[in-house]
Amino acid sequence: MRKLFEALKSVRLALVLISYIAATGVLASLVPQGRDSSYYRSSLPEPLASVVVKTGFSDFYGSPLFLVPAFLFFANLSACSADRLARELRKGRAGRHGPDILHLGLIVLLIGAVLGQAAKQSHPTWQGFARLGKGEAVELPDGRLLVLRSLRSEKYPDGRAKDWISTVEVSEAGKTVLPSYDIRVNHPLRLGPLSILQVSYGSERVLELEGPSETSRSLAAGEYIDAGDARLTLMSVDPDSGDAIAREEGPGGTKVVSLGKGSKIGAYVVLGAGEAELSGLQAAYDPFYPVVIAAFAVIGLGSIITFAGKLGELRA
Amino acid sequence: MSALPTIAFALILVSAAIQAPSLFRKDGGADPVSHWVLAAAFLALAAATIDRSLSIGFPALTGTFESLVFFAGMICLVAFAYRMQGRMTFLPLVQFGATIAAAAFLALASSPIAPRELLAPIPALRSGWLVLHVSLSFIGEAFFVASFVASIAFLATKDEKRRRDYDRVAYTSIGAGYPIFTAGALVFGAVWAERAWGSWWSWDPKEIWALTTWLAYTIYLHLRFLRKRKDALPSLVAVLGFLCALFTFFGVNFLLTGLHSY
Repeated sequence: MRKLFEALKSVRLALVLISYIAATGVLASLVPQGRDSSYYRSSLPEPLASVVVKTGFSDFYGSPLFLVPAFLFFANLSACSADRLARELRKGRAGRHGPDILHLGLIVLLIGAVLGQAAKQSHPTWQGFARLGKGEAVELPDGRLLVLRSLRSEKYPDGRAKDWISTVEVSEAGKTVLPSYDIRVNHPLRLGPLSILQVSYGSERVLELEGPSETSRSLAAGEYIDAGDARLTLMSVDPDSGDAIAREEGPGGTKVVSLGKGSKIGAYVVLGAGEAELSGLQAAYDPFYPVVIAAFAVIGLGSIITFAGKLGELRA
Repeated sequence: MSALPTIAFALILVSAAIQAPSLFRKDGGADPVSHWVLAAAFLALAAATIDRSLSIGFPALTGTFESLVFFAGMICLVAFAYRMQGRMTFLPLVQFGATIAAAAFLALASSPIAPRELLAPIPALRSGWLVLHVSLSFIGEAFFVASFVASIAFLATKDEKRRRDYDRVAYTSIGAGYPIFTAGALVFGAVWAERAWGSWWSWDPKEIWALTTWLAYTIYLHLRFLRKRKDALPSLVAVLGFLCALFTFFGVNFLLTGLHSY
């Protein structure tokens, strides 16, 4: 056990591992990651493609090529830090703990990264993307309901986009838990471990419908509306004529139907083509992000103390 | 005001011309003017950045041209500070090398790879974290320029005294630049990425190369701190580190695609 610790606390080992991680990382940045093996076979010379596919280099950061040295590095960093701290304490040099704090921050960062990645992999459905129109809702992975109350795009005087803002309401079991929140680009909504980010904004061609009592709604491609026993799923809208093509599924089977202005779908009447603004919201899940932030703070503190110490040495 | 980068470029060339004769002086003495010319160039570049920032209503650090102007300004400032400090032996070659680097980056700023068009940033780039990320990364890298020049000079000379002096400049520059680069490129970059993309680390080419740069300088510091090596190896690593920093900016922007492709 002692021999293992002696081997692990080696600075030479640390330098070898850091060099390996840096060099292989550079190579991995040059090879597109996560593609199908056919992609590498068609874009790289055969011997190289075989090496990339067989060694797992095509998914480098999920392969033993990276994970084993990364784990070794974690063990090495922990052993080096423990050894260094013990030596400094024995010598009674309490003022020279900058590198210890810095290394502790790195250890916490690696733990936060691994736990965060594991949490993401164990909750794959907790991350996703939805495009919502005004008034539309989406059920969040934790069961809460997010309703888009309004959306707007701020523009510069030259017409380019400056910001996209989605005002949302969140409810849980029919009870409003967040009446109103503005999600902006770079200003996500935090709901515990879940973040809702504003990632895109756009408009889509829709079919405008008028319902009973002058109520109206719109239908985008892929959306459906029930009309009696049949379900009509919108396939496309012609921008010029305003006519739409829809798939009708009912007791009589499935058929494609054309819907012109004035056509009736259940209680609704087709008004024609229109444009609907849509907000692109992304759900991201990382319950260990606070650990990462804490690690950054510790790294910052360690860096400052180390830097101040070295500056003092230089001055002396 | 749009002529300010050109004025700064001219000032940097004037400074280089004033410095050039001192490179051949045997006593290693420095001229009394060139660093003040560099300070003037820094002020011109700072004024250009402020002017553009006021025009677009956001800190002008989000485009290639703006980044290069800021970077060149910071190199001028580091070269000026190096000349003004009194702790280390002043080595004219380090100041001259940094001056040439500043001129080279400004020349690139005026090339077609860096459009000068005055455009306010897209929504994803409107973040205070991004400003910290970019500015601190370049300030850290401005120190790395000094270490790069000193390390090249170290490798090129056989004179032991000179080598010690160059080594000290490289070590001090990296010691100063490393925490700033760590904060800017990695910490604030990660915080911004989490707010913009929902993930603080994505193994994006830019992230990988920034990490590689950081790892190279980490190796350098461990070679110097712990193994007390003062031979050619740390200098080689410092040179490699700066080449990685250059690739992080230019190579990734122009050769690779990823999340940072704005």
